[in-house]
Amino acid sequence: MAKRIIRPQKSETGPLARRRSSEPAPLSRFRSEMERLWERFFGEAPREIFRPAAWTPSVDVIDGDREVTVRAELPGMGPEDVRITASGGVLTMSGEKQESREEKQDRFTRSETRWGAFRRSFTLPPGADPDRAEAEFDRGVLTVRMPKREGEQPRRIPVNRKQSS
Amino acid sequence: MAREEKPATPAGPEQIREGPHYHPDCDILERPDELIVRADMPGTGPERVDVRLENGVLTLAARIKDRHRDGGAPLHQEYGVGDYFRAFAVDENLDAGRISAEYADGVLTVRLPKSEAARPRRIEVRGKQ
Repeated sequence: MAKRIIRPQKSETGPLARRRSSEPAPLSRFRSEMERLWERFFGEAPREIFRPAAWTPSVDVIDGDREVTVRAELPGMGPEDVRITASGGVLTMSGEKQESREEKQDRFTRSETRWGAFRRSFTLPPGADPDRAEAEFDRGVLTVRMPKREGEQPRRIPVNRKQSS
Repeated sequence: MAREEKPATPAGPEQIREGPHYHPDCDILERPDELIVRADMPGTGPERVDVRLENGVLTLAARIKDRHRDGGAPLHQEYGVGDYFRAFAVDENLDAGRISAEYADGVLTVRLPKSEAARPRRIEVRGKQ
């Protein structure tokens, strides 16, 4: 077995360490177990064998009083890699994370990051106006902000006391 | 919260993190003259990332600001907020003085050049005149 020049420190996986993965825990545990076995036999990290064809970036949807915010974690991607569409009250984000050509020849000692195509759709809460949506990429996080239509914002209805005659 | 004082041991770095932290996905590429460690750390920034090599342990740590200050109810929540942390034991055949790190588009890239002695070298064979 080849001597490893770099390897994860054992102490890094404490009880509080969480892996940023949207995969169900038993599945990702099984996957990492298989990958460890592969590495032990071949001295190299597996590239695609245990990876799903598509990946699922993590997304948050926040329903505010004035706007709806959708955030997606897309590290290593830029505005040119994503496409956002809205129709029929459904917001769809899709894109592809490309693997650079020069890296295809590289030897990967460890390979955990995801790449390939993704697609996610969300039903928008009532009132969100896709016509005025704005999207921005910052440090690998895509943020889509959608103001709510004026009429749809919560309005307080005054309650009057009926005058007794 | 009271914290136990632990001496730094050669086996690992001092544990100074509190609360939950996230384990960023990392790629490690090995090239003839260098190693490249790439970590997906979306939402942080160069000023909040800390890369260290101490006692043969490379640590990547990053603090993150709370992203949910916008107000409003989360309708759907998949990613939590917490600091990033990873540690790798590295061989001493690396040139510690020339390690460089860069943060772009949510990805931290650390380049660890191999020391002169560890690089593959081709020795020219000359014919005797």
